[in-house]
Amino acid sequence: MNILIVEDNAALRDALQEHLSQAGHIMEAASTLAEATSFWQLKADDFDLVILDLNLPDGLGSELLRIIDQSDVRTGVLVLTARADLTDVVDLLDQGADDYLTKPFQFPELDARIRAIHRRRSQRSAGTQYWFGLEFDELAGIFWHQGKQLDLRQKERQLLEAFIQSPSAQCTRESLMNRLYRLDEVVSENAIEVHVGRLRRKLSDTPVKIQSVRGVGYRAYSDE
Amino acid sequence: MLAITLAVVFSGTQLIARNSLQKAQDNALQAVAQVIADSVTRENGQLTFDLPFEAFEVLAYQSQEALAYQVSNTERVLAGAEDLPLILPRVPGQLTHAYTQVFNSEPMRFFYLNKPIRGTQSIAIVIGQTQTGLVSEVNGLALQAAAFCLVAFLLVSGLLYGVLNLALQPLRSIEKALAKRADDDFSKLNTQVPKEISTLLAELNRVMETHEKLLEQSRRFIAEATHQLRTPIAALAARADLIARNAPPDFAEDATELAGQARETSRLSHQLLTQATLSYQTPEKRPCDPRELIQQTLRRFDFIAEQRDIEIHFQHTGEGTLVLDPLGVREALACLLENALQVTPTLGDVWISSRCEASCLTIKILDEGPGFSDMPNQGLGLSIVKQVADNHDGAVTFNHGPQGGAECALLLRG
Repeated sequence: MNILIVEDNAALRDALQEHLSQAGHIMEAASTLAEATSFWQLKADDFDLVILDLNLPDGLGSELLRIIDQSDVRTGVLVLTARADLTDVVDLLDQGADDYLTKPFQFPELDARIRAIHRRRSQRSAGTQYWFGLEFDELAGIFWHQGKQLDLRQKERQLLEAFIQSPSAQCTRESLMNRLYRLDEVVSENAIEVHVGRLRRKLSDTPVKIQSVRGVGYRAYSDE
Repeated sequence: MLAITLAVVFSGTQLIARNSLQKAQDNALQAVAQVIADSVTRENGQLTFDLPFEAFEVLAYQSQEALAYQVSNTERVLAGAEDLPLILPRVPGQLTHAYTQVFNSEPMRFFYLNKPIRGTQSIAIVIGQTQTGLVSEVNGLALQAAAFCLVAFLLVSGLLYGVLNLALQPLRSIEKALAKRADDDFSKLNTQVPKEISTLLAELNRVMETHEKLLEQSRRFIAEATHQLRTPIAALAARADLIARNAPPDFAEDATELAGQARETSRLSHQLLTQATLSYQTPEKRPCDPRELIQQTLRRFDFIAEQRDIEIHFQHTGEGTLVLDPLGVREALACLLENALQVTPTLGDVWISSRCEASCLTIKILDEGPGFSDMPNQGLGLSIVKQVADNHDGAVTFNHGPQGGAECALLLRG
């Protein structure tokens, strides 16, 4: 993703840049409202996401949020706030922000919010596949059923991808375990059963069913 | 107090009345005895005397009492009842004294008079009279005194009550004016008060003004601290995580430890600032959709739950909005969720149910941990939860889960 980071604290801004770079994102960074607004106006179409601090030395980040909301560009906005009063933040969500994070935060949480915003804003790409009544965007890792995005966790998506990629939609327990976990990870014996059970619940309103095959593993099929 | 006072008045009046009436009776008896003594003469070596039956009749006429008498010399009873109780004076040479004895099964007052006769003889005269009337009179007087005392007490009490009520009216006005105020309203009281307590009111207003300034200072400090602290701590935690991630093998363990401590500092500072905010700022309550409020909070924990392969189940019943403090509710729920996720093992489940009914919101969180006695992070987190419950006239309770784990129930009144 192309990300614009707007944060006046240099240490935090640098840490964000370093982390998001390591995650493969491309970034611009601004430390003031004026600088951020200038970036936006020059390259609005380029940015997939703006990570926006509310308290900037030359104004409030909400001013940039207003500019983005009024534009025609579909850019996600993740607000960073140190304020104690989150009622302001909820108002910002009404003004067009996609989500917010309260400082201090952890990188995994930041990553999760970024992924969630990306998924919510993603349009179906040209490479969308159709499988057992589901639409699957392999690039974005998103599944839809009847136009509604399925709220799946990463491991649940990985399971479904495994069934899609298997010619007979059948996977052994061991292959699923290797797909979900690294070899060095300590995993409970029933981890796959738990994840399959959760996936079944989330697919309950779709035609896709997952059947246990004794001695083999699991098989996905459509009941339509 | 009143009973003791009345008892004292009754007893005292009884004593005084008895002494007074007793004295009058003694005088009357003495007079009759003296009349008899004065009538004693010696004729032909024999003592003779007159019994004053008119005097006896007067005594009997004064009250319906029984009379008794005895006239005796040193050898024998000359007239009257022979078995009359006779008690001689203790002091030798004393010629008269009065005493009370039982005669014919009832108490009787006796007067003894001894008249020496020329030579070796003397004559003893004892007149006795029952005291039924006297006792009745004494008790009547004592009752009247006690009744008067009671009436006086009631009158004085009523008067005092009225006066005190009037005097306390200005203080009650101040109390009412204060009771109507919001908790954070420290504006001056403009109640009209008499000049006697105007200095009290002035001092009260001064204290409130001082308190308001202190509170405002605290709020500004907390707001400033919140803003100033959170960003550097966020930068510290972020940099520590990056160091841990990129550290060479020799330093990996130390770097991971550093990152862990930074995260813990981050978590505790957040809780501390939240606790301070909740304590010093009046909750800003407004109509909220409880389902949406809870779901917003749950979204904050999606990543932790996903990291630990824990499934969060949420079910809400009831419709409508409630007037709640959204900041407080989110933070309280966050503390409870953080705890539940920490104690629930990997691949486990956390169950959250909420119910909106009759202006009350009940949120229950069930985890699969070891039970509430071993819950970590009870310090600041639990303090925040209790503060929020108090701010909503609610409560927080902890119980064992139906199939293990711990269940926390948070009740909030909207």
